[in-house]
Amino acid sequence: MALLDVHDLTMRFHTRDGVVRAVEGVSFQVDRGETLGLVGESGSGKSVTCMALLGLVPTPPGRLEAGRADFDGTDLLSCGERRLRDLRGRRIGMIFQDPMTALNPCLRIGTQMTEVLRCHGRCSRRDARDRAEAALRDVGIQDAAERARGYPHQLSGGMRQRVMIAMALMAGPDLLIADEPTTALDVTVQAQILELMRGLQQARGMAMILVTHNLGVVAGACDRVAVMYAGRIVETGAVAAVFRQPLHPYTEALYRALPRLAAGPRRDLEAIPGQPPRITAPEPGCPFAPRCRHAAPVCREPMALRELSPGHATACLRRQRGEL
Amino acid sequence: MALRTHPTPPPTAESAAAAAAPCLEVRDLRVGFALEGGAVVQAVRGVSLCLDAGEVLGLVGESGCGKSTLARACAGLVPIGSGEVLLQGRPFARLPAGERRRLRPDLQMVFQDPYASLNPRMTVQETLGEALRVRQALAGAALRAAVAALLDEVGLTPEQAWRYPHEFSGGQRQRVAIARALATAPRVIIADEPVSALDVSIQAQIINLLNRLCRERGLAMLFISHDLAVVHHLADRIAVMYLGRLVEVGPAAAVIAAPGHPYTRALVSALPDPDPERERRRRRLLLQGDLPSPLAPPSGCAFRTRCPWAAPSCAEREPALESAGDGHLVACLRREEIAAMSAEKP
Repeated sequence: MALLDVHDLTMRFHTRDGVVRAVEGVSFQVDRGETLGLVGESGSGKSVTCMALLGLVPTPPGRLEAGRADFDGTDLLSCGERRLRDLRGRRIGMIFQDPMTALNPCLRIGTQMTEVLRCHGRCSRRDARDRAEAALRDVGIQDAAERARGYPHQLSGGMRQRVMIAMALMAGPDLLIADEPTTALDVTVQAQILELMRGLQQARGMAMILVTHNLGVVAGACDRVAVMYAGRIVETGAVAAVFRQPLHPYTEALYRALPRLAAGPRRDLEAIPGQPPRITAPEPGCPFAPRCRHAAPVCREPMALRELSPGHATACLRRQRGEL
Repeated sequence: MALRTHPTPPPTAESAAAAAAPCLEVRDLRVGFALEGGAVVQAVRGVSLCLDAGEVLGLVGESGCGKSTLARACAGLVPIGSGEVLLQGRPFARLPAGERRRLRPDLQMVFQDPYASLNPRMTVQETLGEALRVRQALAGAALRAAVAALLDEVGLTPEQAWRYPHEFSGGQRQRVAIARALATAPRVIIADEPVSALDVSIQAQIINLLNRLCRERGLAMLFISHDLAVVHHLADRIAVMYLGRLVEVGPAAAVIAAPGHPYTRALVSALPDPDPERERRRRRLLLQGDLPSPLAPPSGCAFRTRCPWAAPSCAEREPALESAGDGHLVACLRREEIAAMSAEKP
């Protein structure tokens, strides 16, 4: 059985300008020890999906319209705040994109780190401090004891993100949710952090949901991938299969639009025409159809993910009908 | 098109000399910022580069390396410490403000954040119209036609001229910012991370637009980005900057295929490859640590603290850019040894 089984997650925001359908009927699974990449452009709903799982979407304006998320026998979406507090930080760790806003600037790093352990009890002050220092050493921070006495502003961006990772991993979670953990970092530091996360994950057999807009990061770090567009998953499958033979035109177009070194210099890119749709006024059918070069009248019918080969599913109606 | 027939200045001895000079030339530029307490950050420490007409030079480096300061110094937006910035042979950065203003239409900038760089209280018509009138006395229908032509050139429609910046998406707003830069019919554009805030699908549109505009208008462009792959799609030549200095300059293909400086090697190696099989197979050159503080750059080669090939001699002498063949310059004392070593290793 999967460690996390998300079914039909639907989260909408009721605003003055209308209902924003941020996440619409999203379903996916994450097995133990596996990394699932959640890919999409801004506004595609990938961050809201993660926040919803952790009960971190402010309600109102957010409203959970439907869905279930079984984490090892508990439904995260209905279990209540007290049960969630017990799981968050202890069994589910999280890393956010911007380590400067996620860390408290007024507290020493050691204090913030031990807070997680002390909250979940069963740990003396000294024990907690030793474990925090060990966690800092695990993420490659030398002079851990000294760093733990310091404040976030005394660290570089890469170091702060290491602290976030150390903090998320300290309680030994079964699942780590990492929302764009390297996006704010320089490429050489991004490479270091990804390498570090990969090593720690393998050593601990932890499951991970890695949210990113970078297909290159997915290629290197994930086992499976779910591609999101306008609040829906449009394709999901093993990374190798999805990249070798994308079954949704959006995945294919996104892949082709990537700048890459393998191309010759000053080569034009295959851009995707048009703009992402406004999710306040969704048209029926496939949200990508207005930008899709394969669009046909059938694309206005309701769409759903369907498996075309084992583990590899697409929401493209024309692909499902064998027309592409 | 009406736009491009702006009145050219009468030929003088000065403009004849300007025609022979490169579009933009930077000579041994230094820019420092004084901090509270008297310390000085040297953001740009002796950079020389040269941009010919119709050429795109990509400038790559990580945050804090001084690339934006270099761009702003070239555009006369921050005072320079020493050195020269020559715009078509004339000492642009050193001119008094009034004279610099006369030359400014020739050099325009596109910034990263079009939210911040466009006036939120002006419609696109007003923003572009104001800039168009710098070169030509236009009014009424002629001005509207000129704005419509500009919008068409950047892939927007004439009706969109009556909208305000907040009514556009990020990608469209960047198109407006580009149209704004083109409105003065510049010879040189300095684009500072113009696609970094955009999503992949929109980023590709803007890269293609810039490529087309440079080709069609024969524009020279200094294109600044932290993303080597993006630069590779635009640049004829690539310059790599680290802690205020250029460490490598050369033809784009050579810099990517055969990087000479260890830092460029690390940048090429750190870029994730969207092919899962290649991505997992390849061996990375992982750097240790972070960028040192620009307040106290390491002695000798500034990169030595993170360089896997650093030797004691690297601390003693600051390497100068030296030729590695065919317009390819590398500033590394151990360049030849490292090239030989990595040729041995498969």
